[in-house]
Amino acid sequence: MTRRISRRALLPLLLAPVVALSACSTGGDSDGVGDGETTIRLMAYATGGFKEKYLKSVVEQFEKTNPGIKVEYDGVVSSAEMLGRLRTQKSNPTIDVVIMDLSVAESANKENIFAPLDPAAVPNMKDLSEHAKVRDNFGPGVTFDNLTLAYNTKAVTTAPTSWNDLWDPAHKGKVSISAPPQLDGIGLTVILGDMLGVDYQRSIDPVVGRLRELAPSVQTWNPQPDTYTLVKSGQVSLALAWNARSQLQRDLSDGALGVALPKEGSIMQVNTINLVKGSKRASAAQTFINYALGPEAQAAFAAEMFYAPTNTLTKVSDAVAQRTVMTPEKLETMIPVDWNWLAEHRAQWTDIWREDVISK
Amino acid sequence: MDGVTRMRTSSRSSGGRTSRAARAALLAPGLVAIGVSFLVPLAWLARMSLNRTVGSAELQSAVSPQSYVDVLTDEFVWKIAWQTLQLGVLVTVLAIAVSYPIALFLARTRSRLRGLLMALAIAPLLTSSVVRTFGWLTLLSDDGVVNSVLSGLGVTSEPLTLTNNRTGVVIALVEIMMPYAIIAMIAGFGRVSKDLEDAAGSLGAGRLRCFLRITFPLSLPGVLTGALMVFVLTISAFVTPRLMGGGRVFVIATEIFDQATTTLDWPRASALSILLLFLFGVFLVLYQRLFRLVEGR
Amino acid sequence: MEDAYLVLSKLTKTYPNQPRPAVRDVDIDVARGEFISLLGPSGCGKTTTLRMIAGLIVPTSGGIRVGRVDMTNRPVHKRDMGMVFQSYALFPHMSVGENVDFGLQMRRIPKSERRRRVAEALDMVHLTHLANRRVSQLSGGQAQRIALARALVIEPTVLLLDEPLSNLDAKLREELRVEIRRIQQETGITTVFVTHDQDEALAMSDRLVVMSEGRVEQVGEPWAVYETPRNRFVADFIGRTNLFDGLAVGRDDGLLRVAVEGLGTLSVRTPETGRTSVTVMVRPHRVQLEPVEQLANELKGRVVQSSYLGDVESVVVEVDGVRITAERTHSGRPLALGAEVRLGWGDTDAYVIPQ
Repeated sequence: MTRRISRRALLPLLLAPVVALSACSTGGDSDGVGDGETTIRLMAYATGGFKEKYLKSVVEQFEKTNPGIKVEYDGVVSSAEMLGRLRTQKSNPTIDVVIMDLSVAESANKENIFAPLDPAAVPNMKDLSEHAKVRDNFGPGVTFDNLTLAYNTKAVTTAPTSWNDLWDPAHKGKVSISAPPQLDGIGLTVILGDMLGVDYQRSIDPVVGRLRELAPSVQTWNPQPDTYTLVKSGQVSLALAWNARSQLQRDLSDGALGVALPKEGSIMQVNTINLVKGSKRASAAQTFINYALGPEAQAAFAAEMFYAPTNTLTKVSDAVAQRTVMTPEKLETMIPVDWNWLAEHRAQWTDIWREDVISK
Repeated sequence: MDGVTRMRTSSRSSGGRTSRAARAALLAPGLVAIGVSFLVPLAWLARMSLNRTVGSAELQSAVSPQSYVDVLTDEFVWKIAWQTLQLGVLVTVLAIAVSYPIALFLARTRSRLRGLLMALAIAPLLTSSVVRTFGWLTLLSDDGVVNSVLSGLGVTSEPLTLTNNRTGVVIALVEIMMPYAIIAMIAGFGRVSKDLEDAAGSLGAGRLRCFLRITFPLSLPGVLTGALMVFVLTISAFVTPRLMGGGRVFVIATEIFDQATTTLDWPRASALSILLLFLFGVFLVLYQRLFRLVEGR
Repeated sequence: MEDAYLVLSKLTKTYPNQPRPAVRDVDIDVARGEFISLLGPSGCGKTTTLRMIAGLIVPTSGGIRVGRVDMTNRPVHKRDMGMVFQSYALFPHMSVGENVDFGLQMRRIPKSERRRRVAEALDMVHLTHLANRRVSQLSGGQAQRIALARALVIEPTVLLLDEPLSNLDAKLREELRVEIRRIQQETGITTVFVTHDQDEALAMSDRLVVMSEGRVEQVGEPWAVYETPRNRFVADFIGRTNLFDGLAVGRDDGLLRVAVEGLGTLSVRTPETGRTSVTVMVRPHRVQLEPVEQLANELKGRVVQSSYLGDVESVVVEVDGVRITAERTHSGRPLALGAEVRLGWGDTDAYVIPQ
């Protein structure tokens, strides 16, 4: 007999200090009701400019058009850490809306941490791309990102065009790959499977063989402090990276960091926007979710941070479109990914990478 | 002996109940702190280790030894456990070897500068190991100070790979552990004394023999304490293997971190933590046995 | 000294940043088999001198010789001297037997001989039964006997004792004093003994070296140093004493007349000193209270202090502002404070300090 973790009397008690601490860092635990004004709490990424840009392009605009609702942004480093926090406050959530990676969100959906959305309260859901839709009206995709190659423009003068450029002997010892369990390495495995014509759900042996050839060129499988810093400083020349952050860093570094989408295509990463089950402000939360999924917010954030919009009605300038995967030609090259399947096989792939790629 | 008995009786006669209550009151904050900060999380950890993870990191409540079975039958876990121990031994030996002369000097010097030197030796503790690890990342990188000096002197033609691998982890860990080793050893050098060395000298022992026969054996309790401290800190070190290892150095601590924060398999992470704790226990017992041996009791 | 065995010549030790040398121009000759004590208050340089002999401190200048061998620059482990420390300095990680054996091991002596000599050494201090004990299980007296055995088993040229009895209680100290002296005489070993305890030094030594502020104040046999101190410091330091500063006012028939403020004129039998300003010394036990016979020096005073010690009564009498200490050994009720007493001493009971 197993039973979902639920309101065990002990658990919240034990974690009270932890919860108290996390509440401290966000400046008080407001109940959100008072003076006819509701405050909802949004948990999303703290790093890589996400928070700053999202506050500016989405949250502030939302608060202007919805004077009765305030949004408090709780920045957290990773989706996994978000899930960790949500688990500890499951019986009495203080967070209302969460933006996190699709594969992690799926675990939260199953653990009854998130609640399905009400299609009537979130009408924008119907205009979403197929890639953004999630079963049973659970939180849908709010941004698309994709894997790219980031390169140091001093060390690499001609922009790379293919994933095969990672194997170029010229970059020996100057390559950075974030290995599984990070999604970067998982995504690269899928891409290579596609290039080598194998079904990643059956076997990734040929991919492993190819990766093993790459291993001697790799300087780090765990870039510190992060991929973008290493590329900008020239510590590495070529790196597996995410498009949105790379585009942002390109601008911030005056072009020291370059971004290239290889011709073989890429995989898309989806961040979903979710309603926390048991939220006492579910209505205001869904108003915000609807806004975040609307064309206006989507366009504004894409222009700031280069995440591709998930709402098909979104209009962005050509310049922005070119720097995301939202052009039809690019969308065409995207390789389909079953994130659910990958989430379940992530540990297995991690072991394979460690045993047969990194340790060799 | 006499004094102790007298003290006991006197405290009893002057109202044993009050003093017992006072004692309890004095102990209470510490016990509560230990309870809240150690025992409660530990109990929580033990409970979590019996839960189950299904599918893609979905946590299910259960009372099942499954995560222990999984961990103990996983070849990779055994491999990283072995690597962790190797790293622990290597770093311990090196850190003790480098710190020993410093500790011995500090323990014996009567220089007025002793306080200052002592402060210098343990000053690194004032900065976090994250900061120090990043420092080493810079120093040891391909175009860092160390490689520049080596190639400048013509010792190497190509830069040595000193970061993003085991070498870097070992170098950084040794430096990070030195202050702990020094403090622990100085505290354990109580039996080393100038008189004993002088006595050995007067009996015909030269410097080397005096060190080997007198100073070193007498310093063993300190060495052992330092070694235990460094070893335990090393096998539980997370930051440095993570930052310096380039994703190539797998130790139990980084594995726990991955399981807890990336793969989200909390029961497995908990089971690994409990096993690491068990390992600590084993080494603690081993240490006590050895300590009694070198203390000669 | 012609048959000098251990010779210290102009031995000096100066430390940087210290105003005066710790040891200055120390000349001492020790005969073979002699027991000599370095005595003085703390900081007088006696321990520094001993450690220079041992080779534990390098002299700034001067020399050390044993027999015909110059030891000055020889490292400690090649000096063949046995040393006993105040702290016992037994090796805590070795058994009693191993401690005694240590010096023999260092000399690479064959095992069978080592065993015999260790047994002999333990026998000498009557502690054979403790050979396998741990050092931590020894009492202070036992520990110091073992330390002595350990120092002697190597058959050293010189035995150096650095306040070996200071950590022991009074009774043990007396016991061990006798024992050390017995062993020293049995083995005939040349011994240098450092102490701040004058009773020890007087009781054990063939000769005393009294030191002060890094210098030798007087060298001589215990009785001679006690009876005829060379200067005021030695007189004051060795034993209890009354010292009276006065002026030599006349001399007749071998008696010096000395005028002392408050006491009038004292008579002392002494050879000609040729000086007018002199110090007269009278040991308290030479001062008689209520003397029955006629004495050369007789005074009257009032008792201001009295300590009854059982075998001795120490009395301080004030005579016209001058305090005089007297000791009487006969039994009886101690003198009452404020009592009027007569006191006096003969002309040979006093001594004029030469310097």
